Amino acid sequence: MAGVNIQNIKKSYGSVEVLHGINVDIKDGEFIVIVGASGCGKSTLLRMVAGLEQITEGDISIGGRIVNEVEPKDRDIAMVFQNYALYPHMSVYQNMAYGLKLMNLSKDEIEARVAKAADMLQIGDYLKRRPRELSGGQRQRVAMGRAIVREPSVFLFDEPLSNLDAKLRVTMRLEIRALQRRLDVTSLYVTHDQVEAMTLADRLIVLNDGYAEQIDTPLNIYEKPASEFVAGFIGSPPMNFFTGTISGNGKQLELDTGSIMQIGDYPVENSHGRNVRIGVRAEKFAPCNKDEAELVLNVAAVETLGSETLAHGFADNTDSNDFNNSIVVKLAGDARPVVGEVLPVRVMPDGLHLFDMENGKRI
Amino acid sequence: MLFSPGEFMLKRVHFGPSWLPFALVAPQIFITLVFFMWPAGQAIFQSFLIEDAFGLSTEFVWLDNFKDLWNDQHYIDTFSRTAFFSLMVAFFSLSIALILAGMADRVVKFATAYRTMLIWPYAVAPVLAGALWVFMFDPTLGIVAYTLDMFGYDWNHKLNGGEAMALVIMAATWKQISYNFLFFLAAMQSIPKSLIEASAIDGAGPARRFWTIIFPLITPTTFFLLVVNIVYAFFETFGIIHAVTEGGPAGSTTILVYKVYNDGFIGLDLGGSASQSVILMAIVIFITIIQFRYIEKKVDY
Amino acid sequence: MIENRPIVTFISHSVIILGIIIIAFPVWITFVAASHDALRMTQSPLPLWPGGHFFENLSEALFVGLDVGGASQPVALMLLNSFVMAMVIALGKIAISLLSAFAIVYFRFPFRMGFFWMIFITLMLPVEVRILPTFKVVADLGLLNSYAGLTLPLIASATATFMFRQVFLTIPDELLEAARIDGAGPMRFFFDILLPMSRTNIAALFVILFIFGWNQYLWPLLITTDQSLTTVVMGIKQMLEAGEQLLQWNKIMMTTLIAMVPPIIVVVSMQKMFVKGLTETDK
Repeated sequence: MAGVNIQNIKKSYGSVEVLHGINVDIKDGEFIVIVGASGCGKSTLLRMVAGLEQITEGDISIGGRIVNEVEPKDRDIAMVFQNYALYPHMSVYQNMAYGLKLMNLSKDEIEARVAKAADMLQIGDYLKRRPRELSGGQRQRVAMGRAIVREPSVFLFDEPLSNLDAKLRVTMRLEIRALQRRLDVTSLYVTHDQVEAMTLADRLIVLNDGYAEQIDTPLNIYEKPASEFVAGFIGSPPMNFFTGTISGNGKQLELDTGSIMQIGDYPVENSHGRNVRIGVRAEKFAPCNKDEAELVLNVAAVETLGSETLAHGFADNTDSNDFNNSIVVKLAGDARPVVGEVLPVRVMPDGLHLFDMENGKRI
Repeated sequence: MLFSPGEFMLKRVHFGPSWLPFALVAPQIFITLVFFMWPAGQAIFQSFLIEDAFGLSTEFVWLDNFKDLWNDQHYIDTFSRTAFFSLMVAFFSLSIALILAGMADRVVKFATAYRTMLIWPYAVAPVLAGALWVFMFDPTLGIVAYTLDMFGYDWNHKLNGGEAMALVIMAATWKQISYNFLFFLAAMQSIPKSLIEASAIDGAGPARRFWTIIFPLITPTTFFLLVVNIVYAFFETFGIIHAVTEGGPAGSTTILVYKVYNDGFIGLDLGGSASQSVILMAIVIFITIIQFRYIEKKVDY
Repeated sequence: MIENRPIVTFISHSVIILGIIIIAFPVWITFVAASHDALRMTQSPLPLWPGGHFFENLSEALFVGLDVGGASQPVALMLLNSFVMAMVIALGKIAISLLSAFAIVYFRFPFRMGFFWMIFITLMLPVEVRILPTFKVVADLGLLNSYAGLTLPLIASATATFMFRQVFLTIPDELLEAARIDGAGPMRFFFDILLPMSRTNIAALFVILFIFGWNQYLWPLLITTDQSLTTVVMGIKQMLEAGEQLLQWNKIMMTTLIAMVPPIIVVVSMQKMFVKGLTETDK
């Protein structure tokens, strides 16, 4: 068992720096999810921990030992790959046993470990099959089994569920979490799927363009996103953004579209006249009477999801064809807005997020 | 075998630096150096030399060997003869293979059995192919010569240069049909069935479909095969000619490769043979470049 | 089939069967000739139907051979030579090509591209083109009349290297990474993962290369003067030269038949591999 310490890690390919100094201290047994859009450097970071990428600058230590120059096999880690990377010519048993054989474990020990992992993952019946004779979910389990038998101090997951269909993904997500709790092994998990990130993580690292935008628990990240990027990336449907100016001596927001919002007790001091980005999640809009409305939407599309209803609309003087700029409001499942209807809403008291115009940081 | 420059980036992941890769390529490089680069270099060097008949003295003559070849009517004749031979072999083997493949592509029943019965000549060595055909056409005994005689045609490829050429073309074509057939059939079978069905719905009959849909779609294969066939006729038919005619009668079936062998090993004209080798190498490189140019284009297509 | 037109189908079948008959005819004639006695084979017209001396001719050719103006060489010995040559060339080519493709794909090292192009050039130059200087090199090295001289110059192969390179490039990078995490070094990865994963390609290539090796003619003709190294393909030519006087067409044709059969068996019995090997190495 071991924690992982990542200290000011940088990575460059030639003159292009793709990671700009990541710092995170991962406690023993913690489940960390690295989330970000594709190309943000999240896989690179994971592969550096695995020892599959050279570290350009900084230190990675596992269990207190700096491993920058240590071979992957000696880092006491195991990795589950996106495409599983099962050896196609070996049976499930051989796949799981291969690494153990190279560790020079005794035959009995190997058999015991494989049997135990197979039992845990319910793949005992397939041990003689080749990977191509297995379904996607079964392959996924074998890949996990191959990691488990190594009995590593750290599990590394590189988007392990992205090749599965939606339903299986949910099941496997739960299983991975349960397994990790049971084995109590430090885990790093890379994904671009924010639902996976939110549900799995003890703590999240939100990576954007090689910078760690925020490292915190899922709930903190959802409730207090540290930047506009994090706010937009985490949460579905994505947060609504507006541009506006703080007015009324820090009591009001004047949106560019002309609407006025109340700031309430959001801590903005001496900010009168400051331009800001304003973020409001879809569920933080409450329908209201026209006269108390902060925003009046012309409903342009309705998505009825059963448990909830999403109304997409446009404020009066905005382009009502461009759904990239539509405002989305989450309503109760039984609400039935109609396209063309006018929907007056106001922001709930704790629903406001303000970000700096220039650097996107939370105010 | 085709590749684009971008592909040279190769794998994202590598093993670390060590002496190992050098050891791994060493055998291949060693053989390449000793048996390819060195002789090729020597051929180029030799082609600038003239050696007297007893090998006692050599003289550096720059391009004189090439000039001699250029002025040698025999060599020029050999060149055009080789071109004629190659084109004939390519034309006949491609046409026959195309017809057979077109038919085989149509029939579902027995398709595999037919293929089996058409591909085996590929495995026959050129010199054996030559032996088969020379036996059939043997002027005194051959079964075909005998039959021709019954129709009043006196076949004798040992005396008649035109007949000798016809015979080596037949033997060379015979051996190459199976190769072409395989590639044509594979190309035809890779055409999406929906395309053929669409044209059938448009009202095209089998022949029309072949010429308007199938044939244009297999053009890349046809071009590829044309190049391969020409290379085959240029370089791999030595055995056929050696077995059937030994270049005769009176040099009427001597093609370039045969002449290199003949001048070098029988005539012992080292400089001349070497400069012919150099010309052949240039031809091979030229053909290869054309092929790669075309293949690059084909990738877009 | 898209439409059902019995006539068109009938024509298709007929054309193919006609093609098969024409293509097989020379071999039929050879088979017929190999089944008659020597006397019958001097009488015109030659027979079109097999005679009764097939096995007699077979055993005589195999174990006694044909007097070609010197020692008589049993064809069995020639077959052995052909087999050894074909096997050494095929396996040798595969081995050195696998290794160099592995180096070029999985390592970054100085001169990597230089080596790559050097191998590429060998592809362009068939042995027939540089026959005389190569002969000189082999003679200078004292390799005339040896299996080494017979096979080594034919072993370097760009084609096989390219094919394996292509195969390796399609193997996902993650397998190498998984193997590294499992603790496999380069050679272990090569033997445990790469080799087993390439085995169908190896088999396909083997078919092609075995035929290539078996059918070598000009090269063995030049560098072996020792009768005991004669391959069966070369043997035919010597017999053809002598055949005019000896009038033993039955045995010459029997030998031709014997020389053709092994590669044909390989092609037909491993047809799937053969087609794969052919279409993937050349394209």
